[in-house]
Amino acid sequence: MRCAGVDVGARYLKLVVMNEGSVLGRAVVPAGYDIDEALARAWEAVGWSRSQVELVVATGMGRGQVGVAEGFVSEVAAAARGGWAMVGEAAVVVEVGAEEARAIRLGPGGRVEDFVVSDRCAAGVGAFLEAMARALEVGFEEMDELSLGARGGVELNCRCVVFAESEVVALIHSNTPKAEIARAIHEAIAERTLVMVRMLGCDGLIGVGGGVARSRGFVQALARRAGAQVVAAGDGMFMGAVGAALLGAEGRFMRRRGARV
Amino acid sequence: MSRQFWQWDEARWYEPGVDWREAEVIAGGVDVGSVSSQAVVMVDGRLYCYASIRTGFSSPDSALRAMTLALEGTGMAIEDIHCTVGTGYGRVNVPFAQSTATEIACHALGAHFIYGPSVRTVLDMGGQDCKVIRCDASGQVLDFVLNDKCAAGTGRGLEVFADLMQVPLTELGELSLRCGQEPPPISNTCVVFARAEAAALLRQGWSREKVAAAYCSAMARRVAGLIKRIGLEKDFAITGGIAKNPGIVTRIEQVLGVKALVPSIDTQLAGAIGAALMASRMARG
Repeated sequence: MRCAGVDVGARYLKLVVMNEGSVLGRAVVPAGYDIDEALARAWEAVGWSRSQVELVVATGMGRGQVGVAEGFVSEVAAAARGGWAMVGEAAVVVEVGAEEARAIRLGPGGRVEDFVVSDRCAAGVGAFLEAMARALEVGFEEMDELSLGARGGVELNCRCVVFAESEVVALIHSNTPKAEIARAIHEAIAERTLVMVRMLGCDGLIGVGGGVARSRGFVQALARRAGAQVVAAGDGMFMGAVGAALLGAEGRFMRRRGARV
Repeated sequence: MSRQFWQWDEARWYEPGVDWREAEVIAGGVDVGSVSSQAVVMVDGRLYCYASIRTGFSSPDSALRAMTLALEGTGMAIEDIHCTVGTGYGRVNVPFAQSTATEIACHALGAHFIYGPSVRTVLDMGGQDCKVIRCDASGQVLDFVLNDKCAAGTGRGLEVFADLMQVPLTELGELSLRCGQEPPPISNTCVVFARAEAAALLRQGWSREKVAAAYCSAMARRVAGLIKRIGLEKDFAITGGIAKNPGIVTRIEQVLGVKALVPSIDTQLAGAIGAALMASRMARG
């Protein structure tokens, strides 16, 4: 059964087309203000059309705006299922997006045992990295390069994005090397992530996804601080979309009222 | 250069009629905050001069610059001050201070000086933190709660918002009171998300007055939550820079159902005045 998963996040819309557990195509486009238009571009980029797919399941904060979806799954269910498929042996799945982050403890068979969500504060999400990259006047990739080459030892004291921005500017003015600041930034966001993991009380392998997982500096900082093995899913940004598609194929989703299936 | 909407004017004042050379006790107080720094000098228990500036990257420099500005034209030199106490987050970096005190203790004493002995609950809304202090009739601290982790409800958060709105920080409160019917508050707590929410409301065609009202209202609710954690006993007073924002003060009063006392002195000086009062005590022995 050919099934599509759409994950409408705060910054990007992710679309995957799957068949029998394998990914046939995937696309990521800026979500923008018009979800229909973003989705149209995603279909074009993925190389499959809506009519070639039997079922569309949506997730993410903008899932309600996906008019063509037959059904929905929560972000937690999608990340858990996607994380289980991408990092099979994970005891905890962590998804760090642009404006939300979640940690989910998995039980036997990938069942959701417990979860923690952060959706009120920008400190532990991609918005933090955006603001810090702006303050440091570097792109994400350059920030990664800098961070990976740093020695460590510099720490940010502020948790809040607004305060940390001033702190980064002060560090620049006190001639702290950019590389050390970049590393301190990755350490800070990794710590916010680990606070969630610790709340779940689990020290097994951590599988990481979400857009922020593309940052190698972040993943490495996470591994350094975690005291547990950390595995970044290859296409971690698609964790939610893959989960939605798989749950769709398994019939484990909420049907939209008036959907054609 | 484009206009910096978050900026506010530096201020200074002195009392020309006082001859400090005849004074028994000359006491200094310096409050080096994360966003602003204040220096005051009290002569025999009366406010003599002050200055309020933006904190720079170096705390010692900011402390020195604030006191130098306060003393300008008075004929007084820093060496003429008998005792100086530093407070605020940069209090250990006031090179000419003999001692330091916490900003909690200083704000309670400062509020006691500014508003009188009837004050029992002080809300200090500063640049990077927000605290609620319960105190007794002598200005001694009984209990307090503090938010210093999050920019929501702080001056720095308001500066970020002023920048988005392209409205000078000092005019934001007045603007918000011209909104007509009160809109629902901004729903996001985090300044970063609230900023995006406000931008979206502006795009939807909301007036700037209405968006400013929604933001001020959200800030008022946020600090009211902090006050409720420790309990509100009258009289109620607000110190710090945000006490000058009528849009927020009015809404805090509405949420709490209590009027705040009206200040006679710049509320941003409360911490420095408290520090100077401590310095007076120390100078008297």
